Amino acid sequence: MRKLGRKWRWFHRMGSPRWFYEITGGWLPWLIPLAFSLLAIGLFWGLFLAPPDARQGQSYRIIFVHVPASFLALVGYYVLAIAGAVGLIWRIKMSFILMKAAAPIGAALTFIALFTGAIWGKPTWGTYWVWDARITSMLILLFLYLGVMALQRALVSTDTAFKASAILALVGTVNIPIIYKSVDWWYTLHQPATLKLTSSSTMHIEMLQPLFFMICGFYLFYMLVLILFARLEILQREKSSRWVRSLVSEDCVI
Amino acid sequence: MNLQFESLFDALWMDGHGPYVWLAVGISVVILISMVFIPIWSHKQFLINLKMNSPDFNKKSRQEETE
Repeated sequence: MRKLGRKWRWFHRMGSPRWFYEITGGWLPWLIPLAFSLLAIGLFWGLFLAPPDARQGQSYRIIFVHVPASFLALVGYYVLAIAGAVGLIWRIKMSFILMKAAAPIGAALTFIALFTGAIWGKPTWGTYWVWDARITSMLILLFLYLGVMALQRALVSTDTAFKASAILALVGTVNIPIIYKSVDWWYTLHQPATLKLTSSSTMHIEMLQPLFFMICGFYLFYMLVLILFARLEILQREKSSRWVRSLVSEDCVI
Repeated sequence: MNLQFESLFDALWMDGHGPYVWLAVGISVVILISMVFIPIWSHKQFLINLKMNSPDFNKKSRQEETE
C-alpha cells in the first residue's frame, strides 16, 4: 500500500506543469548542442562522405532528411495520441500541454517529409506527386495534425477543446498502420522501407551510418522542440500562479 | 571514407541532382531552425511582457521616477 502510494506520488509529480518546467530547464543547455551537433555530423556525412547510390545517383541524398523526418512525424503522432488518451483517462494537466505542443511539431515534420519526398520524386520518378497509398496516407496525417491544432484553438473552453482534439487524435491512429503497410499492401512507386527491425536492411552500411546519426539527431531534436513548446504553453497557462510570478520577479530569467 | 566531390562546384551540382538535393535540404533546415527559434523567442517575449506588467516592476519604476 505504501509502495503504491509512492508510485502515484511520482505519477502526479510528473503531471505537474511546474515540476516539468523546472526539471526541463536544466536539460536545455546540453540538449540543444547535442541535438544540433548530431544533425550537423549526420548531414555532412550524408551529403558529402556517403557513396552515391548505384541506381539513383546523387539524388538519393535527400533520404538523410526525408526518412528521419517521416519517422519522427509518425513517432510524434504516437506522442499526440498517447497524451490524448492519458489526458482523457486520468485528466492530467501535463497531457493537454504536451498534446498542444506535439501537434504543430508533427505538422511541420510531416510537411518536411512530403516536401522532400516530392522533390526527390522529380529526378527519380519523373513527377513531383502521385496519389499513391503512402503519399496519400502521409497527406492525411498532415491533415490530422492540422485538424487537432484547429480544434485546440477553435473551442473557447480549454477542457472541451482538449477532449475533442484527443478524440480526433485517437480516431486518427487508424491511419498509422496504413502508412506503415502501404508500401507492402499496394503496388506503388514509393520504394519499400529502407530500415527494418526484423530483417537485415537493404541499404549499404556506409549509407546506414549517417542515416543512423540523422535519426538519433531527429529524435533529440523532437524532444528538444517538444520541451520548448511545452514550456511556453506552461508559462502561458500558469501566468497568474505564484511560482510564475516569483520566476518573473527574479532578474536572472530575462 | 573520403569526400565524394572533387570541387565545391561538384558538391553543389551533384551530377545535375544538386538543385533538388539542396532545395530539399535547405527548406528542411530553415523549418527545423525556426521550430527551435520560435518557441525560444516567444518564451523570452512572454517573460518580458509579464515582467513589464507585474505590480513589482511598476512599483519599482514609479519609485525610480520619483527619485
